[in-house]
Amino acid sequence: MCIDVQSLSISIDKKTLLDSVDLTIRPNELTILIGPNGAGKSTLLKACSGDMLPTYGNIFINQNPIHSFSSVKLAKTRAVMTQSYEMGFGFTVIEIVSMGCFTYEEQVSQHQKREIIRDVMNFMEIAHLSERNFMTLSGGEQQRTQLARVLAQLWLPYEQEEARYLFLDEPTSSLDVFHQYHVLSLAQELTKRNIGVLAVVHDLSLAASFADQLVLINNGEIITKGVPESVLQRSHLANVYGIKAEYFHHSVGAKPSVLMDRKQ
Amino acid sequence: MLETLTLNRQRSKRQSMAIPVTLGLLFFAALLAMVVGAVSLSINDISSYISHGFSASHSSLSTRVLFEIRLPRTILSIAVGAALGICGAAMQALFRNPLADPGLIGVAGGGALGAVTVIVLGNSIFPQTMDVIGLYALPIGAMIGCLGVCSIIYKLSNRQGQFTIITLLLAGIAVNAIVGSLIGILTLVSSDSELRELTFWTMGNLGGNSWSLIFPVLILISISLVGLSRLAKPLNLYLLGEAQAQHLGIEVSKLKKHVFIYTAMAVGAAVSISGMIGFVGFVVPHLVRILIGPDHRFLFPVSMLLGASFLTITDVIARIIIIPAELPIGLVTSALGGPFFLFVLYKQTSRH
Repeated sequence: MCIDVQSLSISIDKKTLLDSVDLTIRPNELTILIGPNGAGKSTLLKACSGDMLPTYGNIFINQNPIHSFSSVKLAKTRAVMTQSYEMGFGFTVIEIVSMGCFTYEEQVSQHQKREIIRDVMNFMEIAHLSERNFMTLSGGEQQRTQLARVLAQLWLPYEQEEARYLFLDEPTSSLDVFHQYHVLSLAQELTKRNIGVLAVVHDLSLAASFADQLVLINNGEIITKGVPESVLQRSHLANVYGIKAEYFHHSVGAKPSVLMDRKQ
Repeated sequence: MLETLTLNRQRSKRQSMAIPVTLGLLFFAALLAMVVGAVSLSINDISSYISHGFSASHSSLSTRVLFEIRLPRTILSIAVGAALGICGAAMQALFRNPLADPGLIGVAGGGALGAVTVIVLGNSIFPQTMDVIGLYALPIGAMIGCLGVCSIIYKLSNRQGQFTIITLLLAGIAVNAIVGSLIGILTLVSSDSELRELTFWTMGNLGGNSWSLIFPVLILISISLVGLSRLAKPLNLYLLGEAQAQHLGIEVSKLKKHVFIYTAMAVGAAVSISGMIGFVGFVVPHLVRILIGPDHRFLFPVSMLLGASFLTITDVIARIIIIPAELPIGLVTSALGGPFFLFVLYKQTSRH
């Protein structure tokens, strides 16, 4: 049970976005993609979530090729948090969150559905906003609302053997420090429920603190992948980002971080 | 802030109230439409005629007025109003833009082109056909025009199974421009009386239609209203964005195509028999959204009921304001709807 990406290449208008990428996303792991702007992180995430078709190569979700999934089956197997979302109509927060229950709405009672919505809203700390118009929220509050909706899609632990997956494209971009850690702790928590998480994160210290598998991408190729300590080596950071920096883990009681040299 | 909070708490209460209230309004409007007119009928007359049913011989003037003029006209105004209301809401959802209107997919332009062709060229080019189909020529021409123009726009936007909204919008604008110029050319070569007929057609009229003309329109409109109502929930998710709806398990391309086809069918049928009635499809869903929010499970039925009531009442006004003549209903809908909409909009913005 995993998502298996085999020599995946994607090109659009002769521009190569991804070049023979191999990657395994396991259900009990938090996989984090890092890399500079335009490296191909979002493309890889979109390919794994079924939004983009491979030009070459294959993607298997739980041993089945991704193109064999119907959109309903795919919706029951994975949830996606996109980088941006448009909303020109004045839905309330609770209306938006409840849309996440669409795939299993007919299988649960009204009471169960209300409980799921309450749980995810409490988790993202937006319960006090539930009656507010989505369009009047701040950027961070909007992002938390959308995250709650995405979580609702996977919240129901229905009896199934199949592993499920959560894709997060820069889920922390508009969040304050507390909520950044909160969201990634939640992602880590979900991996214990047989859910594999693939996230794009820009903050290297944040990525180092939470990733079970860290994947460094540049120019559409995977430079290296593995535990944070081995990926965030001085040479890799210098080659990919052009910065002089060091992976630093002070003690067991502290989260690791990436420290920049004073002289760049 | 507090005010928005309490406003939104009212929303669910309003949602549950809206359907009974608009249903009551529609009943009142329909009754009004039966009673009021050049020949006045009392409510007692109407209830006794209707309880005797259609089987009774319709010899007296008042029963003939009721069964052959007012009843079909009222039913038509309800159907057309309902179609315009719900299709306006559906188009605004499809384009994810509250300014969208069924005209964008070519229904109005196509209908007008068909009607103008029949009016200006009908008698000279197909005289025999015109003799055979007579009264039906104009609605059939308008319907063919709608179907033709809508299917051209549909074909242009549907490339490799991808039905993209931006292509739809651009193709719609371009095709509407071409259609507009064709209408212009036909107008140029028309005679004075043809020009007059054509001008009145573009202002809309619900009168003078027999049951045999109304029935097919009712069937087409009913099919699409049922079809659209079933799409309410997917359309809510669609408002989150196309990718987001797809992630939630909606087949977005299919959804967009269905909305297009149902709207073209309902508005096409409405336009073909009643001419162009502007503003209802735009203003009614807007008003409903201000009152009860954007959730299509409520927006659709309430827009339908409110559209039907609004059109029925404006038709009564159009009939009686300059008895024995009639005002074109399109004039009344814009003249009444415009100021009323501005009033609601002004109240809405001044509250914040």
